[in-house]
Amino acid sequence: MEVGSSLDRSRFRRSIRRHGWPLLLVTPVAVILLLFMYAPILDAVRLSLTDASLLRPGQAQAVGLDNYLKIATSKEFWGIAGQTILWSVASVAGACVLGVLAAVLLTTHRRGRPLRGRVIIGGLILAPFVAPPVVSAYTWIYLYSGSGPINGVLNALGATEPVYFLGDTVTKILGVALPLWSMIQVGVWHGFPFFFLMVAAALTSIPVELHEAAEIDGATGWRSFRSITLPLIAPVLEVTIFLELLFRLGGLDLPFLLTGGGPLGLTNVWGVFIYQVGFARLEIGYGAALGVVLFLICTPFAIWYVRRSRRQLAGF
Amino acid sequence: MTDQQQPEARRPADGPIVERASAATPSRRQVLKAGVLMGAGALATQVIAACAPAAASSSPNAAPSSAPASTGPAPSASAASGPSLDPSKAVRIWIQNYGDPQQQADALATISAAFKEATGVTVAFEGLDWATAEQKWDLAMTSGDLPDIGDMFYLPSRIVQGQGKWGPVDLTSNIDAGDFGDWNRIVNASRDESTIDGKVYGIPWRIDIRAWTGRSDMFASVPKTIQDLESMGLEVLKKSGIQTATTHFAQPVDALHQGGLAFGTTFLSPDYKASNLLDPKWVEAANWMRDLTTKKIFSAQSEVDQKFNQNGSFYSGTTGAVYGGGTMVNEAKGVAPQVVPLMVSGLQPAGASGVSWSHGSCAQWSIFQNSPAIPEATAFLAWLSTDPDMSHALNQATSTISADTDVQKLDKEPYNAAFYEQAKNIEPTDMPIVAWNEMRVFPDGPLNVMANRVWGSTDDIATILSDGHKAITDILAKYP
Repeated sequence: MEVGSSLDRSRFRRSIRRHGWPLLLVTPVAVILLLFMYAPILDAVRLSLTDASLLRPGQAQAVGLDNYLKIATSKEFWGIAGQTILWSVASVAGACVLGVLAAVLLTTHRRGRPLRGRVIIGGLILAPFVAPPVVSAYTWIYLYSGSGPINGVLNALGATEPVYFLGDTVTKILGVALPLWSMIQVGVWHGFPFFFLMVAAALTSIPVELHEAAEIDGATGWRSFRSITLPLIAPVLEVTIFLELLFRLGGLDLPFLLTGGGPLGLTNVWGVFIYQVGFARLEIGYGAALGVVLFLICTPFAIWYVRRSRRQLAGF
Repeated sequence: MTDQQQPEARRPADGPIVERASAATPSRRQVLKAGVLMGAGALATQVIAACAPAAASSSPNAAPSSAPASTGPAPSASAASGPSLDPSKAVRIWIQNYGDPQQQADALATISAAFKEATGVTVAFEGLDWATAEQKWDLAMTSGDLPDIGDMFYLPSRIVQGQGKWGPVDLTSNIDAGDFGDWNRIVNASRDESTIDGKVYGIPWRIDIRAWTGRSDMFASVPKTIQDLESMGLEVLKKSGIQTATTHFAQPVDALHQGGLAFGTTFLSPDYKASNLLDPKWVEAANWMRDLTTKKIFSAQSEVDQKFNQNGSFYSGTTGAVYGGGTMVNEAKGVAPQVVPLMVSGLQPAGASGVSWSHGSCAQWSIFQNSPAIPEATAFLAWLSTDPDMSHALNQATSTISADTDVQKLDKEPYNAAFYEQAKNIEPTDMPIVAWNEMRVFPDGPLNVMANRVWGSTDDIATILSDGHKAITDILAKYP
């Protein structure tokens, strides 16, 4: 008995010696995450089970799953699901296409030489990415306004009426209101530099010999891109697409700043809606429940991303 | 709901309130004079004490040698007759940022210094940005982590949020005692807006009156009636570069309110307990608003597009007037000085009644129940609100206009005259009930949604009003 317990003790001491230092280093981060990330998430879950209102602080009553039942039958929440998905998918898809195109054009060698001025052009491409969302949003609000430069050009071309890109409640394109299309356009503009950055980095890791060999075999242009470039940048592209989708699905900044969900709710998305419920209607309990539901909607994407990253790491 | 009479002139020579107020509320000069006398007294006491035996100077009644010279007299009746002011306490005040930040900061610094000089009490102002002010107030009200005095909006909600522990202090007895001067000098609508269930919770210091603001190069004169508005608006539309004859100001609910008032109706019953949206006058009003929007006399964009630059279109000349505009002249001096000579103000065009009606919202100074410096805060508000010159300087620096008719008389800006005239016939923009906050939530509260549908959709007007009525009735039921 005594021998066994002394063995256990020495094993424990050895384990502490081996893992103690790393554990000590991880502790501050773990404590910060626990306090500022997980505790608020757990508190939001607790809050979502109450009727908490900022109008009646400290008087929240437990209501069980009432808020979740309200969400399940909420025409508002599910009504804007389509807009949220369209905003996320279309703006990410547009940004992806534009970003890949820019990266390929800028990294392609012409007659064995890199494109002249690529550093300056690359810097200009990155400008929307570097600009804070509030700057991007207000720039586009100005550009799109009734007396802004875009309408100035349309006017010079003969348009008699200004186009209210962010405020038109009548015009629809493919069944979607013009303000939502305008918001998607700004999303593309703001998001494509990130794709450009990621894809340009991935492109530099493709051996030049592959393209040279393909050229000898007669594959140039589109064929070379489809058969060589695209498969090799696909892992980076996948991760970037899913990260961007995650940001857009639960995001608040651009839609909130551009239109605040209006006009007539035509550009409302989940992030803005949750903000409105919590901080404009002051229904903080219901707002928390909406946040939890959005968290659950986004979780599969996050899990997919983590698994994918693990698989990629295992491959190295 | 709101008296149509002009607020009585303040402090008539023989009124009982006047006597009480003037006896109880010394002028600033009197306060300063008394302070100097007290200081001299304290100094003399010290000299005598220095010559006296040690026991005499340790008397608890002896004036403290470090006491500021002016801590003696209190500036108001309540402060004078109630607890004396403690100069070791600082009064913290939250005020929203208005106009030029530097001008506001300078004016507040002057006010703080003058009050410190008069009473020895320190006043510290903190400016809040409007963009985040509502969240800041809501969050502060959940925990009671508040200043001593606040520049209020949504006053009824703050009372509920305070739960009787840290909400706004009931100032009715101070007002009855004349601590804040003659209450009748405050614009009627602002008094209404500050009175909840018969109790006064704030002292109005600024008012946002909505009246006509037009450009003389577009509208030949101020339209007197809504018929004039239509005929003159059609003429304005013939000018080049014009997109709509007018725009509105502020939120869609405010424009809807204007339309209703032109037809002699409003959102709620006079006791604020029921929806008034099934009043047939609303159908008339909403149809009129939609008709004028179709004719481009009103701007649909101004209502449905949150990012539409209402004042900007006026300055740039794409619209001829702001229907229900605010006091924009100070802003114009800064951002579009070339337009200032063209700016003409006037009363809102009258409807069938022939009387011009509008609405106005005020901001009040409120003291919080958990303040550790309630006597000092009360004394400060009494001092500030009964000094028209100081109040006027604050309004000037913040580009606002006063809810106090005495202070209004000091304003020599001709453009503002019509706003003061309009103040005789206004009702509160924000109703003095807790439910109001939820009714006018921006952008998707029922009243804003109603307004959006009137201007931006082709939905049937009766359906819009019926939906609005149901939503308002449901909200009122939540706040019995």
